[in-house]
Amino acid sequence: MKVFLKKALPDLAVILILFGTAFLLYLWRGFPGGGSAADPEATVIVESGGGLYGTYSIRDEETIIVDSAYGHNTIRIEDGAVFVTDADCRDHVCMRSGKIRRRGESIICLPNRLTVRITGKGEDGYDAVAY
Amino acid sequence: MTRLPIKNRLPYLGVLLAFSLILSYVESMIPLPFAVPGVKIGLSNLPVLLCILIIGPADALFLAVLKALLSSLLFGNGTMLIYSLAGALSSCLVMILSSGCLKLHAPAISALGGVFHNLGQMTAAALIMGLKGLFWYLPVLILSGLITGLLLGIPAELLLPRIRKIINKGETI
Repeated sequence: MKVFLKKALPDLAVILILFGTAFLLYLWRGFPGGGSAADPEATVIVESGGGLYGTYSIRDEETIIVDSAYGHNTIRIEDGAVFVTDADCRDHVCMRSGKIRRRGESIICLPNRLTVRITGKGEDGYDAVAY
Repeated sequence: MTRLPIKNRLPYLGVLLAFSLILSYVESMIPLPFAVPGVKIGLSNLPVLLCILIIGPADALFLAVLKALLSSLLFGNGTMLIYSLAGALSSCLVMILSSGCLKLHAPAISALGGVFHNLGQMTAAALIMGLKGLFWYLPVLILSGLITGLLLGIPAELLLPRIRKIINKGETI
């Protein structure tokens, strides 16, 4: 064990530094003014079962109830943030996703085939970047 | 390790290039459960890492550029070429530097490569589309690059002694 630790020390240091950087950036981004600010022009797009369910403004105060063949979700838009308050799926990943408020962020409920995403009007926000 | 003459390096480079193209193809068929731009598994980084550690940094750079060119020609389009080239070059350079200067093992080198692949790709995207949104994704990109890189580094570390044995026995395949 001691030999292993001594040999792997630089590797562990590199991994810890990378992890620490990611964590610090995450913290910093959460502070006001740290990341890109909430966008009053942004729209909230709710899609269910692969089709569009509705489009809402992020400035609205609204409770959206989605009942589809796949399940039930309650989405709340409040203070420029969107979050899922209730769902009948098993894992509740969508509820644990928390609040989203920036362009490009999304909440996805896989079992109920529901996606909630925030998009802007302009060409900003990525819809597909890969490779 | 002594550098092999070009006629002996060439077959290894060919095999590694073919290997990385196959992995690119496999990767293009795996859908990711979440839509975070810039995040990919980076399977095709494995041959580049092996090339750095076994054959040499210059050959690895050559391999990385060819891989990016060919894989975006085969499975992508012109825009993807810019991203994949930026990602491949930055990840390859960082892996070369980190394997040369620090005494690292394959998983850590590969983790650095994964992180810088995502960062390079995202920087290219940010330059093309404007800088908005870059900072929002940084932690996700670093973390995903770290995890995929670490996981890919494990097979690399296991393969290394075997491939070295083959190379030491006979110079060509």
